[in-house]
Amino acid sequence: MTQNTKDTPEVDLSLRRFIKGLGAAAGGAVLLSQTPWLTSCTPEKLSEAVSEGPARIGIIGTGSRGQYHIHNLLRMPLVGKIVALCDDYAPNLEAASALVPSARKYSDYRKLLEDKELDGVIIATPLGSHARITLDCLSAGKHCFCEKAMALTMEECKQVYSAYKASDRVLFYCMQRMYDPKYVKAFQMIKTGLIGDVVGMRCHWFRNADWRRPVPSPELERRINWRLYRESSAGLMTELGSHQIEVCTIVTGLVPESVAGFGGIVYWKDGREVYDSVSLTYRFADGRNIAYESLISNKFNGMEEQILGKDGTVDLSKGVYYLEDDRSVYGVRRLLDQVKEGVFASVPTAGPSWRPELMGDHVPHYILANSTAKVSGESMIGADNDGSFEILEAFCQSCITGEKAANVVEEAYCATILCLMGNEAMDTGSVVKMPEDCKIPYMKF
Amino acid sequence: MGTKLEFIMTGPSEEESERIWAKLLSEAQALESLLSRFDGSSEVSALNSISQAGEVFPSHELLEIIADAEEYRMLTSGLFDVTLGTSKPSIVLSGRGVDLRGGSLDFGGYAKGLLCRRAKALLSGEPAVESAYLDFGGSSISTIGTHPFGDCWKVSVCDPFSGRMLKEVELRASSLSVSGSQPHYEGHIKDPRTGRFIEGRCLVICEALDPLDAEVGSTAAVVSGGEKLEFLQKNLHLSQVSFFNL
Repeated sequence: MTQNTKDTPEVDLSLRRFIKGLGAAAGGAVLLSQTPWLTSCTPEKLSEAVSEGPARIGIIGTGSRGQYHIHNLLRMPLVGKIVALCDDYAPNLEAASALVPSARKYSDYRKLLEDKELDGVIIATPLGSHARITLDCLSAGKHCFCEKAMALTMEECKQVYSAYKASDRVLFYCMQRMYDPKYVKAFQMIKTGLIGDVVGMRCHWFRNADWRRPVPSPELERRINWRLYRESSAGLMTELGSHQIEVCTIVTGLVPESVAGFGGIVYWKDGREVYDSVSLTYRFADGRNIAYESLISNKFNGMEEQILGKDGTVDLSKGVYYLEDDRSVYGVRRLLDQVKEGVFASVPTAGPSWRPELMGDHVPHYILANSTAKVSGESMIGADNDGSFEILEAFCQSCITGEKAANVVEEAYCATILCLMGNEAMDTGSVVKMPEDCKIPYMKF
Repeated sequence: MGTKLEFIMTGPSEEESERIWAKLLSEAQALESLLSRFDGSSEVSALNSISQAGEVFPSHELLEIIADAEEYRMLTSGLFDVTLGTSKPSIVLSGRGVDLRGGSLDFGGYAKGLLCRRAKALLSGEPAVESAYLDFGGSSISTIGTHPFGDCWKVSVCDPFSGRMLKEVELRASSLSVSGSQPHYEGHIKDPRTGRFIEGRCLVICEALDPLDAEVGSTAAVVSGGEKLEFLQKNLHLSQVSFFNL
């Protein structure tokens, strides 16, 4: 092995400590029951996994995202060992091989799946191939970790979901927010009533970039810039929106029953086929809405997932919450929050004497103590500390123990179906309802 | 002093910040042990306990403070007075004694201003401090320099009963004091001329370069019922004074 493990030679325990902290807290069992996918990667189960050695991992798709996973895997040698690499684009395969020279190289993923010395597979290929490769992985008896979204079409989603339910293999989708401690904590805070009844959701993801990659030769345009073409991509909704819609379904425990919206190619009129601007409203059966918006020609608003409650608002991406009637913070503490966020604004005084109950505006509180995130929404590969490392490590652990992570596939299925419904609504200019044949028992409306 | 002191400063290293904080804390504790009515072992508490004894002799430092407070009483025509219950023109006797018979000392409305003044001087004397925002109980605010991302420090003062914003003040190395009524605690300012608590709901905002001027000004303006604002502004060098009936 020539894996570079000098940076972090041991298993990262931050998520485990977090989980352990939840378990130790008052009502910890209840808290964990709200995020059941974490029960497959507890510290105790990690010890069991480590004692059995690292999972042998193969990576299909070694482009930018695949190499991002490689860098993460090299930091978790006790649970994951890269033994095989596959890409049908030679430059990407060679770049990955340079990172892990000992790994066997394949240009055809089916050959990789025949590799008997392989426990699990990571799929980091264009969306259009997710379903096919995932189905083949499960058929080959390999545990599987696939990038989001689940698939390019609803029919493919149904096939993958059915195959997963019939399989004893582990399947993960890289919905990393489910493993990001600030999101997990926020899910629990919301479910335990921090902001009262959830009355609405507002999510957006803005960037100002063309979403293109350099193409060395024109015939490679559709392969390298696959995100721009409908044969391989469902555009902003699956690439960005799926993460955020998923947050809303987790928070509410419900799935919207319909969606309407508009999309268009507003600025990047360069031959692309997917929208560069989308605006949709998802509607729940009880009348609540998700306002969703994304565009890639203005980055002013960055990325946010706001859960609006009767008593407060949680902004999960920033790791903060605000209370409608906030009586806890004034003066210097509020000023401190402003300075940390680079904001110049008025500081409310407590009043004639110290009675910290006068608030005329909303003050951010940290979801995790002393931790807030700056979210520009710019990253295409992976933001630091966004849960990508943790979910990958949880997958490796599950490859060893064989324990599936509850709800991960179900949430990925719901999010993908909802995103594809959104695309259909924008394409047809109509209100699209959840197709009956796409409903699964997990869905509650 | 029955309240809390918090501040933000920019410039100093973590080590320097801890040293400065320690000095500030020491200053506050020294003043607390001198002036606090909430601390039974303070010098003021001790003097008040023997106020009927006739002439008493405070420490040199306290005597200077009493003399300074006496000056404020004159500047405010008695609207501000730390000697509650006395009707004498002055309690300071010739020599080093004071006569508290018939009354007691209460540095509420003065001590916070004095501490802000001393803290501001302390921070201004630290070369590493570029800017600072010092908040004493939310009602006494002193500033040095400007907000790290702005050209001043902006403070908004709200109606404590409705939450409605009354005024936004831009502080540039100046100080702000807020006095008046508050929910559940309306009768806390006495008219030194009558010994009775001020009735009715009001709020006063004073800005001055000297935190103590602002502090005394806001208390006096409440006592005046808003009738002598120009007089107070002139005598106490207040850059602004605002009176609100709530």
